Amino acid sequence: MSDAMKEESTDSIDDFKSGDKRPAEDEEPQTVGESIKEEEGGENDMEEGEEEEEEEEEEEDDDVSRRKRRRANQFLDIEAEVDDEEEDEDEDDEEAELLREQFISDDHRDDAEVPDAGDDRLHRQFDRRRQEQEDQDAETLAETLKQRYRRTHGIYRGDTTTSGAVSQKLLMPSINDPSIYAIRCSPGREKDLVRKLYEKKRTLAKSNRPLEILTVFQRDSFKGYIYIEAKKPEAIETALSGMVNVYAKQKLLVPVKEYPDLLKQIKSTDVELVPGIYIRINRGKYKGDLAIVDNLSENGLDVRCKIVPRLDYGKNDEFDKEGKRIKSKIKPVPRLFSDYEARIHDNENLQPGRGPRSFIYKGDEYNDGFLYKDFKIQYIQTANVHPSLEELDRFQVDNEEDGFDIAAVASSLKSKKLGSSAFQPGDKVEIRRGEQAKTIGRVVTTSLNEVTITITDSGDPDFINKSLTVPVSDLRKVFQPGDHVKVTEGKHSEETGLVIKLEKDSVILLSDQTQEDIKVFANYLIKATDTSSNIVTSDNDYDVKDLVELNASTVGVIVKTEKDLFSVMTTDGRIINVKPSGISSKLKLKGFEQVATDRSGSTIKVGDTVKEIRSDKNREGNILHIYKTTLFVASHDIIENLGIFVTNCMNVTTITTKDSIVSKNLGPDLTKMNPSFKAPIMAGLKTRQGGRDKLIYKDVVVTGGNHKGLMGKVTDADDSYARIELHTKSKKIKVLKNQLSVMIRGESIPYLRFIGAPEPVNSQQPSMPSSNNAFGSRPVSNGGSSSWGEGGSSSYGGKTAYGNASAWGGNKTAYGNNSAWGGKTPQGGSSSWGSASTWGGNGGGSTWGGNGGNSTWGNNGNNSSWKKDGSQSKRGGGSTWGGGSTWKKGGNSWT
Amino acid sequence: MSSRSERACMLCGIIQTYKRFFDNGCPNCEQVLHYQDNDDNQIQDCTSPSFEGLVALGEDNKQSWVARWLRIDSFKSGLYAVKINGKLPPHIVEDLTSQGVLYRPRDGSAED
Repeated sequence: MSDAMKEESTDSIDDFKSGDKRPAEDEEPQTVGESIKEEEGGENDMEEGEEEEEEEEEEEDDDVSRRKRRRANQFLDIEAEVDDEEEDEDEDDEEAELLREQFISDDHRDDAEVPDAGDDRLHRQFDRRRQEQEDQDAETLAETLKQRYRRTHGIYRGDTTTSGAVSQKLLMPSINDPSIYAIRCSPGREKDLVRKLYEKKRTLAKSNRPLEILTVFQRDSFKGYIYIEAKKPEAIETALSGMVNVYAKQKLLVPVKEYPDLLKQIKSTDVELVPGIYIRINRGKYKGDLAIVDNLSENGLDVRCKIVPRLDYGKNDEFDKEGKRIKSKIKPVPRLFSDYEARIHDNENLQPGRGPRSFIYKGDEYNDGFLYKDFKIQYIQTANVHPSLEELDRFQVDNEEDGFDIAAVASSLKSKKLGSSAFQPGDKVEIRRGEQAKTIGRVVTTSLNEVTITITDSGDPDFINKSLTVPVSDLRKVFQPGDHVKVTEGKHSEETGLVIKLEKDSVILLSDQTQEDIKVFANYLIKATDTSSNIVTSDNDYDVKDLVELNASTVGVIVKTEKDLFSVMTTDGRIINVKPSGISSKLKLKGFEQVATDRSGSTIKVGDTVKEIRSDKNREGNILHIYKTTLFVASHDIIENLGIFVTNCMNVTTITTKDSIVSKNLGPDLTKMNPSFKAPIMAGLKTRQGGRDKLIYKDVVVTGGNHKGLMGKVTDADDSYARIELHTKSKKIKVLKNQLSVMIRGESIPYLRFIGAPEPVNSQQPSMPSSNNAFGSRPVSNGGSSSWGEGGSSSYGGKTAYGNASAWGGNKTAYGNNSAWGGKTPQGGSSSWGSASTWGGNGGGSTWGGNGGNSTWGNNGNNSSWKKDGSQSKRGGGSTWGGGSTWKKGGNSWT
Repeated sequence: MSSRSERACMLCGIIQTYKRFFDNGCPNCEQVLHYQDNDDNQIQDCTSPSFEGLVALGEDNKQSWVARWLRIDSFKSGLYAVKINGKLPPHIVEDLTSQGVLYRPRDGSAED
């Protein structure tokens, strides 16, 4: 404002000077001029005083315009003035008033001194004088205004050089200072709350109940808290009443000695912005890109950054119908500036720069291929920069010999996991720079930014075994070729490998996972004892044991997953390492697709247990996947590749099928649990017929179960159930195959005979008489577990009790703890049944026979009755097993 | 209230919008920094858009330790910043010194 004022004044002076009256000034008698000056000065002072009191907020523009107006109508004004002084006082334009006074006085003097002078000359003289005064007036006025203007805003009340700076130390808080309370609030609302509280305090300041809080503040580093300084805690409650997002109840008194920490200007996480450090750009085209600070502007608000440019020289731009250029939205990849390309594609925007390798392209400066551009300080990110080697490499194009400035990297890494230093006690380290450079030591303790080491090797033998504290940034980990290390940071994080080469601050290692060389900062490594295993590959859909397709001809099973790497065992038994991108898809074969036949022609499915016979390895296991004729079998005996091996289906024989004998929902499959059962099956039993089920599309009659007596046509069948479409109503039911009779030419043939199996179950299982396995293997022949349940008490009959396969399977302890048996009096004397030891003694299946010696079993007839196998239906009858009394009967009937 | 357009005076630390600096000046430093109606980039040079830590200062600031610690205890009530990134240009600092004003950077670089 004052400047503008000055200009205005000088303008008027210039006007005056350019006038032809200027030289005439010298002719003027001195006395007149002096007297005028004196008078003027006096007036001026007086006027000024008035001015200050009356008009504090006077606007400059107003003054100027008014002054101009006055000048224009000078004579008229003054004539009027003489008559009407009061009005003029109101207007309080000092200059006009001055002029008026002077004019009047001048007039008088002129009259007095030169009474005979002509009118014209007098006028000219007056004009000249008036101009002269105005000239001085303008300056005075400017000064006056400046003074006035200053006073409007008051003097600067901050620290002055005369008062001297009070050291911050002297401002340290004492207990006499007001308390500061930390109050919890919703994170993100801190600033809002401070502003609201400020408004509230301001609003209430003039009321009769002002808020008694002194200050409210917030720091970005303390999220979820606002701080209120107040003398009394009650004041805070008053201040916060009615406020939202703040939890007045959760307030903490901040200890006095922590006050300064709350208002520290430099946070420990802050990175000092100095040329050379790495930063990231926050906004615009280069958002997320790494940059090197080249220079800082004078006031530190602009940062000149060196950055790898992203340019396409307009190559990808398109033109719309009117020929207008549509800028490509694709972010070009970072590449060094090429003047050659710029010249070819976009020559008009290219200008030579100040140096031989300097260019100006589209207003930006490029030196040596790098873009040098000013970024606003708020658009750059200094913390958590984490430059990757890849990015750093881009900056390394020309000056390979420079190496990385690890200190710059380290400072940009600052404030990453603050607690966990890269250095751990025991690490071997080397001091990188300073007086102690090349000293090698072992880390003893670490703190946030400093590490204490014990020197093990130094140029000066005196130093050895001395301890030394060194800043983290001055240390480098030392590794030897051959060390097994693990990467802790960055892209290769979690990988392990063998150190093969050392290069200053970085280490080249052969990754255990990718078998490729990777270059990592030494400080990102720790010694590892084992290969990494705990890598989560959550971002892809593949998992171990998945059947995947690599290409049209290669299919395999994933046997190992690592970070971005899978080991796949292919159908020909090779192990291939592929990246996730190398897997074209996961094969999701349906159940019927994963079927093959073993060498004896039996159908095998996923989950079946097979044994490889044309191999000296004698491997066996469960089928994991079947792909065409290739089986992926998982064995428990093999360690490598998760126990998975590949074999052809013609090389295996079935040991057990997954769903042999009974469907799962009937009860657990007992046979698998019984080690002694495998042999007979292998000897003769064909577990399942291959090919289409003979029952399908046959007319059948249900001979048992809920649907007994109904007729229908089999639409579908598995190994134990048939799905029948009833003739009577449009409904499909699921019936046990055994409960079917097949109608062939009007004759009903029981299922078992129909399929050609020997009709009685027992004869189908020749092994049964000699062992109780028959019970286990064919519960159906016992009438199902339900029959047990019916007969016995619930504890006895419960499927679970019966179904406890291990119990029957010869597991002694399971037998032995069958207190349920013993507890039931209806089943004969509890004592007789209940002696667990009796049962417990029944180790092998054959011990059923051995039970004959047991008197209790004797009641049920002797064991010969078992061996003789009465009619099956009677065994199945619950009643025979039921009450203890009926045991005898049952026994009899069997015999 | 958009904080985007807000700037903090590097001398006293008060936070105001650019417009307010231009229209009304700085309530504390106007005498020495002359923001008001100053088209000569004075506001760009002497205020910073990058600041952190918001302090609400009331009229009764004499008793406040916070105000004393931040050296804003003699200033007008308002919102102040704890840390202001940026420094006054040297010629302004010189000018201030000649006017007897002690400039103490608020960007954390002040010693003692």
